[in-house]
Formats: sequence, structure tokens, C-alpha cells
Amino acid sequence: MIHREDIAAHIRSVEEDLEYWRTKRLEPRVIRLIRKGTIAFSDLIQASTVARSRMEELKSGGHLEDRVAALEIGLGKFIRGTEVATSIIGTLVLVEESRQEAGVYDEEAKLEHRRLSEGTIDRLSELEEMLTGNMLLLQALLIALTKKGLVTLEKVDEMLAATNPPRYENGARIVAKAWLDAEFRSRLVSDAKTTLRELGFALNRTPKLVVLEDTEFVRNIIVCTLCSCYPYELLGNPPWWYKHESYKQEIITSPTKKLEEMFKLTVPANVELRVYDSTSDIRYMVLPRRPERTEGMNEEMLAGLVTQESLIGVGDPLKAEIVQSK
Amino acid sequence: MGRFVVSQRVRVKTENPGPNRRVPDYVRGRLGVVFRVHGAVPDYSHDHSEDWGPLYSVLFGSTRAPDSRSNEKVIVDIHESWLAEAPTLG
Repeated sequence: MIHREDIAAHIRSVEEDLEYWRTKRLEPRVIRLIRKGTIAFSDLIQASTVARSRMEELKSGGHLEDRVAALEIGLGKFIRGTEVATSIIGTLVLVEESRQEAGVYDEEAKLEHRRLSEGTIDRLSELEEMLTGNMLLLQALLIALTKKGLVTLEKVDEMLAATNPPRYENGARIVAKAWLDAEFRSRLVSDAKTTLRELGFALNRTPKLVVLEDTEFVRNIIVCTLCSCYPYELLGNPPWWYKHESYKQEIITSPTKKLEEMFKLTVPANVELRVYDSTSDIRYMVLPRRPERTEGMNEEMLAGLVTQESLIGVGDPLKAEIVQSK
Repeated sequence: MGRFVVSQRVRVKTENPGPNRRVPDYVRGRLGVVFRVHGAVPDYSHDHSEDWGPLYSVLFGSTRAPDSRSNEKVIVDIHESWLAEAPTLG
């Protein structure tokens, strides 16, 4: 059983992501570039002084929750930076080559995950160090690439700045608009991608997007039991528990119980629960029901009621009174 | 759009030769009902590099867990090559 506030489980989920991006994405590409002679280890070491001067400090003091939050933000930057590096070296290292290097076809080539201490605080400190180290390697790689004339530092910074992550607030605005505008809502539910493209969301990496409309008698819930499919391009990263095995398995086998235990949400017996397992090319977002006593609220106020959990179907939007009393 | 239509009963194959492995174990071999027909989804390249054919959302009843309720449904997206026709009831 996990709880949303389970800090140890949260830390482990950050660790999994960090190690995934290090061992499957960044390091295999660095190794490939070195193998091909594009760069050498010594280039990376020589680039490290400049790389260090470009590093942002990770917040490491304060409460455990704050440190985990800072770690997650740092991890997001690391992931987006790795994507920038990938696009720069795209013509030098083919996807197939980096898959090969990451051990997709050959167990021997696989990079092992590191073993961390058992204690929560020790583990967190080690992760902070690992993230700082990974960021340093990433920056050193980017600088080594500029030294080879493959890209300019200005271009690198421009690319890094352009990677502001999408956030769940995108979804909140869309839901609020749908609550106010019936015509928009029906277009959104019948063809989400086309409708959202009109609003300026590119969705170039989302094959198909489906918006699931809740009714009085139907509640929709989203999961991905095979991996962690989620409308990233529209809503940013999912909450950490979304990728946790316990959520994946239990929301499929006993959704009513899981909603009650983990999300304190009691579903009336006459409401059908539809759990969508995003197993393939479709990404889902829930359009929750509009809360009562919200007549007269504008789009911005309504968007403020929509939570990240309500877009996944495991929570309700906030009550109007809570927001008004703030 | 494909062989199957909405409301049609289908059985998920237990295995499928070919590269498409994206069908969870818990529905393999089970009976379901076509809930939504998507046709071939374009721009699928980030999950797979070849066309896997028409895609369906298939609805399954409660998951046989001892404490599951009859109004708990699971909907899984499955490509046509994983589905077989199932006899209609009655």
C-alpha cells in the first residue's frame, strides 16, 4: 500500500527516473560519441570547469518534502537538457545506435543502476549528488560539442530556454473552457487533438488524444499498466504515484477500493468506474464534472478548481467555497 | 476502419506473433466488447516504427478480483491483430 504522502516511495520513484535517463539516454550516447571518436573522455574533463560555472545550485537544506520537490525540478531540467543534447547529436548518433549502446539488444552492454543506502535521508543526499553529477556531465557534453563546432553555446542556451515544460494547468484551462462553452466541449470530446491545435497546442508527439467526459453515472480513470503513458506533451509530468506499481495494479483490480484508500474518494454505488489502460497510441485526459455552486465564475476562477488528480480521474475538482474563502 | 464494429464481442488472443507486445497479461485470452473504433492511428512512430493496423478500445468487465464490483470496467487499447471474433450470446 502506498500513500500520496509516502516520502520514501516518492524518493524511489525519482531515483528510478534519474537512473533511467542516465543509463538509457545520456551515458549510452556519450559512450557512442567517444567510441566514434567525435569526442574523448579528456574533452569532457577539460570542459568541466566551464560546465561547473554554468550549474545551478540544487536546494539541499530544509524539509524533506522541499528537498524532494527541488530534486524533482532538477530531474526535469536534466531530462529536458538530455533531450536537447540528443537533438544536437541526432545526426551523429542514430537512435538505433544508442539503443544498442544502452543494452536493448545485448545484456552485456547494459549499464547497471547504482545501489543506494537504505535510509531515506542518506538516499536523498546520494540522489542529490548523483543529479548534480549527471547535470555536470550533461553540461560538459554540451560544451565539448560546442568546442567541436557542432553547435554554438548561444544556440544551446536558446534550446535549453525553449524547453519550458508543459504543466497540468494547461488541462485546467481546457476543462474550465469546456465547462463554460458547450460547443467547445462537444468538439473537445469528439476530436481533442484538432480542437486543441486550434488553441495553439502543437501536440506533434501525441498520436491521438482522447478527452473522457465524466457524467453523473460514469467516472473515468487513467492508468498505464505497461509503462507510464500519459499526455506529457499537454500536461507535463504525471504525479509520482502514477508510475508506481501499486497504483497500476490496484486501480485495475479494485478501483473502488483504491480510490477510497489512496485518494479518500468515495464513489457512489450507482456510478460506473471506467479505468482506461493507455496501452498504445492513445493518450487520455479526464474532463471532470463541474462542481456545484460555481455559477457566475469565469474561466480563470474555474481553472483554479481543477486539480492534477481530477484530470486523471482519481480526485474531484476543489469545492467552490474553498477557493472563494482564500 | 477495420474488421470489428462497436458493441461486437471479441476475444483477445493469448499471444501474437510479430513485434506488437503492448497488450497487458490480464486481458490476454479474455472476452471483451468493442467500445470505440479508432482506425489506424497516424504518427505512431514514437511507440513503434511500423504500422500495427486498426486500433480499438475494448471494454472488459470487472477484473475477477474477489472484491471487485460489477460496475467496475477496464478499457484497454488493442490493435486488430490481437483480436479474434467471439460468438455472440444466445
